[in-house]
Amino acid sequence: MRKTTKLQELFNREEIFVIAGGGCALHAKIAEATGFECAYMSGATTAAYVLGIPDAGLITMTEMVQNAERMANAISIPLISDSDQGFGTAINVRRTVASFVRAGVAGIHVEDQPFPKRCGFVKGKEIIPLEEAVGKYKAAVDAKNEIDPDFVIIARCDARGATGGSLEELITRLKAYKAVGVDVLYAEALTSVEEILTVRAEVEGPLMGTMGYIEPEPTPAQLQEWGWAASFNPGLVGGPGVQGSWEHAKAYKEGPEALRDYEERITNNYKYEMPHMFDIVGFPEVAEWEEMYLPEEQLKKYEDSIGGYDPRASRAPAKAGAGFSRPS
Amino acid sequence: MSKTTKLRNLMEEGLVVAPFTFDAFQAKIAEKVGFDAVYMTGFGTAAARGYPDVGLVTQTEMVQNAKYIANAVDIPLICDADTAYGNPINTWRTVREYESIGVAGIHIEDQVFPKKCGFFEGKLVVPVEEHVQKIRAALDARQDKDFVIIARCDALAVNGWDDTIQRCRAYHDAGADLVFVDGIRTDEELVTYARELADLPRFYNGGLRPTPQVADMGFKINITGNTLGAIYNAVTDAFTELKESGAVHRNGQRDGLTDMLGLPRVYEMEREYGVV
Repeated sequence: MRKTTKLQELFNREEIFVIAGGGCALHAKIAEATGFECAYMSGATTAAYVLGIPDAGLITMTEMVQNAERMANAISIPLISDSDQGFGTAINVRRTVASFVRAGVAGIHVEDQPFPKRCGFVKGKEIIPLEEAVGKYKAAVDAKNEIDPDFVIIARCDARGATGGSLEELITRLKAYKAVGVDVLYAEALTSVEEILTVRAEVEGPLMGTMGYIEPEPTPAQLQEWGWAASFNPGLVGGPGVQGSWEHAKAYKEGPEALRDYEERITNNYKYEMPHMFDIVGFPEVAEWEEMYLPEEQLKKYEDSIGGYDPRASRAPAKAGAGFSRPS
Repeated sequence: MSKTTKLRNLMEEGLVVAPFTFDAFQAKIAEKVGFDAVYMTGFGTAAARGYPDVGLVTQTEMVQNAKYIANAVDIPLICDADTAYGNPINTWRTVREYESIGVAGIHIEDQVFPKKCGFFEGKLVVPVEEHVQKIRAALDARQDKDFVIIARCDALAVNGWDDTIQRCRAYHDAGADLVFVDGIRTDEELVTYARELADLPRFYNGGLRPTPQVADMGFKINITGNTLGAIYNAVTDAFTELKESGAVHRNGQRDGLTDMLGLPRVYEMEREYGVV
């Protein structure tokens, strides 16, 4: 089944599914390996991981599509990608949609902010006029219908938190976006459970949204009960890695004692079993292919070389940190 | 000498004529013919990707193309940078990207993003204050002070001469190295441009007059050459001839082409480094 068809199924089934976000191909691999059904490319995480720049509309469409293509190609589950506000007008949106479809992405969300956009949780958000936004979603739907009708167009509405915005404005807009044929509605940054229930009661079709303002953050089970189609977690895979990288680098810089403390605290007390990074990205497959396709003579390299990792062995899960902090 | 400094020196000496190119091959031809500088057109860069010039090509694609051109020639490359692809913050990144790949200067226009070709219908301009901020951001972003920042004004077709003159003076006051009134359609407009902004370093896009006359009018840079038209016509002719007669005879010669691309140097290096 095509990934776009699979994603349509996920959005339209009874049971909720979790969208696990990251910003690079390894994050997508981890989302898949840990059992999630759908990976996500976050613009903020991509800007940070790939370019080291903030999520302020500085990243270009080309850079986003390049990264999304790498992520989509690394996994067999569908990938949804952030596509900011579609990188321009309705005309740009057509090219943006076509580019993401060709990259093997299963769906994108396009937001109703002006260019350049800003993160949905940052003050100073603005929205474009309703007619202009409707034109953009119409262009997005037309573009995907020409190439792959199953490609999922997600209309993200930023009206709740934007200047001049409100819950009423959000609902009016979501209805208008749905009317031009978008597949999924995405309510950005709702502020309470009541708002979630109101939006569900007012609009038709699959719904998703970020829950950062709601304490405690709703669980997938709760969202399912409230009629949400997906639990959307843009930072699920990519976020925690920042802490790991930071702590390890800092501990190493401080000296051997701090590094031992770090390993004691993080690595040795880790409660889950974790595969080696090389296993996650498929090194064992390379060893298999070598046996299948290389002359036997060449395989002798395994006998007289030194290495901490042997891709030929289907390895038992190593302890956390192996491959990340030092060769095991 | 860096190419940015080279371009500054050329501007000191007189008019810099930079033919339109949109790939490294055309830039090499310009250099071979003897031009001192070369220009990368956004119109051509979009055309080469199968698009009209309406802001569909991204900053990344423009910079990638510029990198090939800049690396292919020893003469300075001036580039189209459209609206700098967003607000002053995007402008900052745009300048850094172009500068880091060896471009000698860029022009940034006061159109609304996404832009349109300077000669197309339906252009819109941003308020003058907004573009002044972008020019300031561009000047602050450059790391090499010789990198040339050209403020392009698209207001002529939209608001007329008074606003255009006012805008160009504001961009000059903000520190732009040159001003560039785009969309000059008649000789009269060209004369008005030269007269009304006589005291400012000026950039001209077009071929209404031969370059020596453009030089006499005091312009500093003239981008010209009708490259797209030349290619469009030459390739259409060749393909028509092929379709109709089964072969291409006219303009079939390619003398000096592989020399221009540096094949002799590759053979030299093969001997030098013991490659077969």
